[in-house]
Amino acid sequence: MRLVVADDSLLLREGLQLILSEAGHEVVASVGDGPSFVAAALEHRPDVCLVDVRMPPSHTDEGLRAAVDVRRQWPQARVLVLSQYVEMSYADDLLAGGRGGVGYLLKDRVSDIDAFLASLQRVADGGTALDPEVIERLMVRRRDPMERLTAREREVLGQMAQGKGNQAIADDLVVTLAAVEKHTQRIFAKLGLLPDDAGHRRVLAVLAYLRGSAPEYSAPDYSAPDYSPG
Amino acid sequence: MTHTLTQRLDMTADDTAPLSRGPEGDGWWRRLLRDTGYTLTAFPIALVAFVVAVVGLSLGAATLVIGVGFVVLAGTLVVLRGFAHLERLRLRSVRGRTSPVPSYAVARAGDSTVRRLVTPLRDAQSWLDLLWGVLGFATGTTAFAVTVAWWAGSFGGITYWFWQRWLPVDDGTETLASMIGLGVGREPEIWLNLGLGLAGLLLLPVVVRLMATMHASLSWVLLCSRAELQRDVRHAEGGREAARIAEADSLRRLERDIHDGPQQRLVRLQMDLGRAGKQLDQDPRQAKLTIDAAMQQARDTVAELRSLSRGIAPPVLVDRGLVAALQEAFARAPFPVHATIDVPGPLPPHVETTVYFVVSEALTNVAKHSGAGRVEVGVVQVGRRLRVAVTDDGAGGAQVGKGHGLAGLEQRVRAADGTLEITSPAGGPTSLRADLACD
Repeated sequence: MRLVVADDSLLLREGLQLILSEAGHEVVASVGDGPSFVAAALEHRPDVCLVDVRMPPSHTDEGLRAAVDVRRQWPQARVLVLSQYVEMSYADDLLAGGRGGVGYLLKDRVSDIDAFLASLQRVADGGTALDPEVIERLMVRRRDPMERLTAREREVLGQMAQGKGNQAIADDLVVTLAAVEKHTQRIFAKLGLLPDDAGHRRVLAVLAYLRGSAPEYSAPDYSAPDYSPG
Repeated sequence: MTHTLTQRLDMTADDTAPLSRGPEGDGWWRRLLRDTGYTLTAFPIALVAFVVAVVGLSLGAATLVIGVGFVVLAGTLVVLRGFAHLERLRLRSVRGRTSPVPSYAVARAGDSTVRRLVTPLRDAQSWLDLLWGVLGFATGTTAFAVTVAWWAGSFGGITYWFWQRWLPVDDGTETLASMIGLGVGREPEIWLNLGLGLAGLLLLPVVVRLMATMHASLSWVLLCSRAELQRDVRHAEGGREAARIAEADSLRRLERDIHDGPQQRLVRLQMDLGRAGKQLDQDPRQAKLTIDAAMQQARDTVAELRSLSRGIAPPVLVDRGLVAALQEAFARAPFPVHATIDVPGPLPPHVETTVYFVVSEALTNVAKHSGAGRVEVGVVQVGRRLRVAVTDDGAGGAQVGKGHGLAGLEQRVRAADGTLEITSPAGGPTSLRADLACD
């Protein structure tokens, strides 16, 4: 596939480029700041954009705002955002449109190259790739309903929330596809969700459930175990 | 063009000189006239203030139950505040300096009318003003009376010879002169009065000064001393504020440095190792190359972490103390450094760190900008203060601007309750002086 890579660190841009080219992908443009990322994405119309959150000129969440900007101007754009930190609000911004084709991963995930490439593929196919840590934080907040699930069911729910399909979950957990399907049905029944296998819609349903009501989610949760201000 | 840049951070004016010292450079007669003017006017002012204070206080206290008293008291305090302001202006003629005005409580924007009206009641200085109105009457009256009596006695004595001729002659009574055995008659009496008058005149400036100082001291303690206290508190708060800002700044810088430096390198290292893992199956030779590159990445990361930790506090400073750390810094400088270090005992850690950064930052600046061939460094403890000076023979023109690191240094020094002064005329030499508290 064709990609645009945006990261202000030359070191990481090079690293990503090496991984991608060794996997047979083509990096059509490689840029180091927000505005040039928007320009490159709109010009090259790549299969996926890989973009770092913190970039010049603002050195804050520049990359994220640029990604949202690109998706506004080109709704079919697929964007995988990489970050050094897990921030729930970043994932929110990306998912706000309700469309698939987005991902939010910690940079550390890149080193598990096969998993990273699979996430990339999912985003390219219009799916979702959310970092396990994001999902973990969401699940910690919904402790009560989570206790109704078995350990294995929680595991499957987490994988679903990350954006994985049943087959991918089956591969990952080394179980049969049928077993995964049985798990998902039981999870939906226990949580009172409508069964829905249509890829991104299922992810959104699971995420919406994990968040609980929207207002509860929008306020920072100071009781979360690893909440850190700033 | 020559421009001198002097940065004085310490805003404390010298206001601690003894109270009894009058305005500088005055002749004794002018001071005498000033002091006399001050004490003579002290009485009528103190009298009116006293009447207002006592009447207002008793009227207010009596009507307190029906609520009107609060307003009467507040009004009394406001009027007394006017007297206090007047007295502060008058103090200038005795102390030779503008008197500091303590801050009075002010009604806040959202306060109700009632709360606004009684705001003076909640203000400590207003009650001190009232106290001055009462006590000042005693000192004011005394000062006035003694001054008038002394002037009259002195001038009456030396002019006795002139006006005695109109005194009725009464030989039956004993005069002062005859009582102490100087003889009977007008002659000894004239001489005695002249002597006493002269003695009184001689002592007049001292006595009047004493009286003025007495009243002025009371006024100063009650009306102005709180201002000094408030200023000291503000100064201390300013230092704490600077410390907080400096700390927040350096933490933020550290976060940025870690993010841009070691963290990026470690992520890249992960990527490379991930690649190597994949390559191992397909192309072991390529994998070896990738691992070699990863090794270099790891080395660079360690080096970067090392320099970052040196930025927080250099290891040698932590392990071996200030002198060793400074010597290390001198050795790193690309020019000879002539140092005088005279610090008898160990210093508190934050002072050591500040001194170290002042010196090393100054040396870095010199190396970067001035092209100096020789630098002199002095670190000397004088009492409870530590004087740090770095002087070079370079081109000068240093600015406390961003990018020169001097602004950050300024903050560090202020946080350690110190002052930083930089003089750097174009053409040099540049001298940087820091004065720090040792405790």
